[in-house]
Amino acid sequence: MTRSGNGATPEALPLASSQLDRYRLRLRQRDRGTVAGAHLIRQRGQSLEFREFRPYLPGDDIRHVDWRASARHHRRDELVVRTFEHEVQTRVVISIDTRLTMRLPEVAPKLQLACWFAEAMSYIAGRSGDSVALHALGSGHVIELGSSGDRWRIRRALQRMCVPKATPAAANWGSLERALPPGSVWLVLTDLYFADEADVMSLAARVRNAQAGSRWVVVVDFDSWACETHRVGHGLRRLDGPGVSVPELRVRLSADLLDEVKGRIDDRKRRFDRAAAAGGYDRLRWTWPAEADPAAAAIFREHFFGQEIVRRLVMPDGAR
Amino acid sequence: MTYVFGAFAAALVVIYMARPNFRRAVLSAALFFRDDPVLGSTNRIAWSTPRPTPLFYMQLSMLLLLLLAVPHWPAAAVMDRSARTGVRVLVDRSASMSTQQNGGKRFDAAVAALRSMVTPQQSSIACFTVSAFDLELTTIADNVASAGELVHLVSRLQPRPLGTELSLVERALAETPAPSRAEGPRAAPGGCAVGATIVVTDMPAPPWMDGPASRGDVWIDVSQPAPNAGIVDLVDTRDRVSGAVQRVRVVVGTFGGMAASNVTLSVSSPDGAVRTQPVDVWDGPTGSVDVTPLRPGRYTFHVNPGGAYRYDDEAAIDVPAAGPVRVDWRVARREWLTRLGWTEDRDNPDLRVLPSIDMLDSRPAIVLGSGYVPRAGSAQPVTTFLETSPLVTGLNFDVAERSGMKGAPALPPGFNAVLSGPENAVWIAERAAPVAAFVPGLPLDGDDNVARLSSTVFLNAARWILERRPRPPLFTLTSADQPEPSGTRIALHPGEGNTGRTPRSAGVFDPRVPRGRQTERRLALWPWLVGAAALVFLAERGLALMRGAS
Repeated sequence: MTRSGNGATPEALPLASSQLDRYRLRLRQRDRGTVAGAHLIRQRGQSLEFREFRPYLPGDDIRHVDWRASARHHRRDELVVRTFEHEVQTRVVISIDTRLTMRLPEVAPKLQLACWFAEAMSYIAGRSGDSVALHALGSGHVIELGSSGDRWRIRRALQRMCVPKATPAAANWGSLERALPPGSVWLVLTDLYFADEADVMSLAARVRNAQAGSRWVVVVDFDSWACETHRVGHGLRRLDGPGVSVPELRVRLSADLLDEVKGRIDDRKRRFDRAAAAGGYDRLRWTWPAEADPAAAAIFREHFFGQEIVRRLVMPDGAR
Repeated sequence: MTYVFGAFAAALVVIYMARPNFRRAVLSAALFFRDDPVLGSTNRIAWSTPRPTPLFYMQLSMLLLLLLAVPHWPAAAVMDRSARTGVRVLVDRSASMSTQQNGGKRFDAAVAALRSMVTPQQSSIACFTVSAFDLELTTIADNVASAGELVHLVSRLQPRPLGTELSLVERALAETPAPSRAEGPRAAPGGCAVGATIVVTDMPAPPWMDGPASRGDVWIDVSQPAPNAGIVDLVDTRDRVSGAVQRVRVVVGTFGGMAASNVTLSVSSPDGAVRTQPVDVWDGPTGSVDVTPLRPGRYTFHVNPGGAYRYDDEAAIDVPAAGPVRVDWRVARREWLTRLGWTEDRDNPDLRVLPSIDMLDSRPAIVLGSGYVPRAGSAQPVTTFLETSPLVTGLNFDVAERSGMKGAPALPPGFNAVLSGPENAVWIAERAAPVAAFVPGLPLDGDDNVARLSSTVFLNAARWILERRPRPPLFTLTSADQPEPSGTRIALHPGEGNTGRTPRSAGVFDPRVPRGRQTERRLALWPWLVGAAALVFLAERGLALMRGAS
């Protein structure tokens, strides 16, 4: 039986490198000190980059006392010490769900936007000096990108990762755990439309375990329900799609039935949230508009530049 | 056609037996619908009872309505032909159509009325035939394509000084074919199938125009009352034996509000004298003037004022000279020939006096019997007599019973006994054609009753025969062969000068109305069926849209 899916190679991100650079720099300037960023975790240390003034505490190196600042301090009996940055490299792992459900809807496949998101984040992280790895959620295949920010390399890795497989490979969590050290950031790009409830719960368990190692896990939920249901309309339909195994799934689509099914999907996502959340978990929703032929680039721009958590991911400063 | 619609109905049933058409839809979340499949057969055709949806019933009823309309489609074809049927136009061109009214001739009004009637209906008229009538019905054109051509054709006609013979019109309308449904209007020889008739005239519509046979025909009376005075009739009085014109009564009529008191009659005599006198003896709308022609010759009469109609203003007559009675006298006694002043003419007699029945031929004759033998004592009773016969006018039957009349010998066929005696003895007999009379004998000499009776009998027979001889008319009327008045050929056709009639038109012109009730009823059904099918179709589509929207 024919199953739908878009097997084409994902298109390149419709954003120039300069646009991504400007976005990164603008956030650095505007949101410094106001937004808690996760891109880089900075610690006070012995680097040459000044961080802040603070009151002298017992045990502080007397050489760090800034006498001029202490003279201007409002409390005459209190010394002020100068502290310096101690910069550490952040590990970013981006897991992409490459199953067939992600290759729909045909007008704006979810996998297309996931690849764009991964490409943008990989580039920005690389340009910030972070180490980036791509991970295929289905096969468990991990591709190390390092911290080069080379978009050609990123794109080629994504293309290799998104090649449709005749049969989905079994989940391989071992390679992911090795690529995801404590303190790293894990981005999971998926629609959570797993055929088996156990697979969903398995992913939730992995997310929960990852947070135990001071990892920040962000699940980006690609939700194209509104667009797809708008396209198919109401009435008698023979449904086709990934995960449908009966010869013909014939239904009378109506508003009530669609609401009911949407409720099932939302229930599954709520169960996932409950199973996955352990203090370091966020879920983003990228939603497709209820249009028959939405523009993928517009959806990407709306969510990439408009969502708070995306800005936090890009922010170079602050602590989680 | 019935089989075709039956096939459509069967196909409709099969379509509704088929399971609905499920359109393919691809959803990435399709797996979440696995709990909601529609149960049923996966075969394309479900051989079961059709699903009784309102749409199915509406579509089926629409087909049935069209199916019912099918048998009426042949009638529809007839309808199409009769809908654009031909129209026969009968135009009155008699003398009265030359009457002046409202500043123009009635014939002009007829042309205008015809134009206003046919021009708006041009689209529903296939063709025209045009005939004109007065004393005869003449076909002018038998296939005129357009209303404009028709009007042009009619306007070229002119009234003729002839009378109006409405029986021609009645006969023509009666002969208009009542088209059957199968045949449609019958085509005229020229190819125009006539389905309705327009009569344009100045005569009021006769009662038979109101009958059902005239359905769809129309009678247009264009007349309007107009003042007119004119000679209505010329009645001559002649001597019954000699035929001499003793008096001519000129009957004058006034119509349409013409004042009778102003009407005068001028009479011109053969000697050139002209005498004008008022018409002062009136009986209703008609008056009269008696003219005594003193000498033979032409007399002319002129009515003044003449009024709206001109052909009755003048008339001329020729009064013949009264000559002696010409007699073929075959009886020996000739003194009565001299006494009566008759002249003998054996070649061209007005009357023959014969002594024997054997000499009788086809010429007018008096056959004499064996004479009278008066009886002083006993009488022969009259057994039968024909009271209405002029031969016994003034007879004293008591005298007749004593006159000794003898029975006639065997009379040839054609003779009827006027006065008979005992034993079927025919004393007086007459034959109408050829005219002849049998009398007992010549008048007797003397002055007694029998002599007077014999004179009366003989002269009654002579007068009866002589007054029946053809007399030259004082005037003749115009005819179809000689329509123009000339001399004593005048146009005094009855009723033509009556300009005071109340106009009466009749009928509603509808060239689409076929002549015949059966055809009409059959034609009326199928449009309703098709219309109902259309309504059902609209309702079905509307319902389908509403369902689709929900």
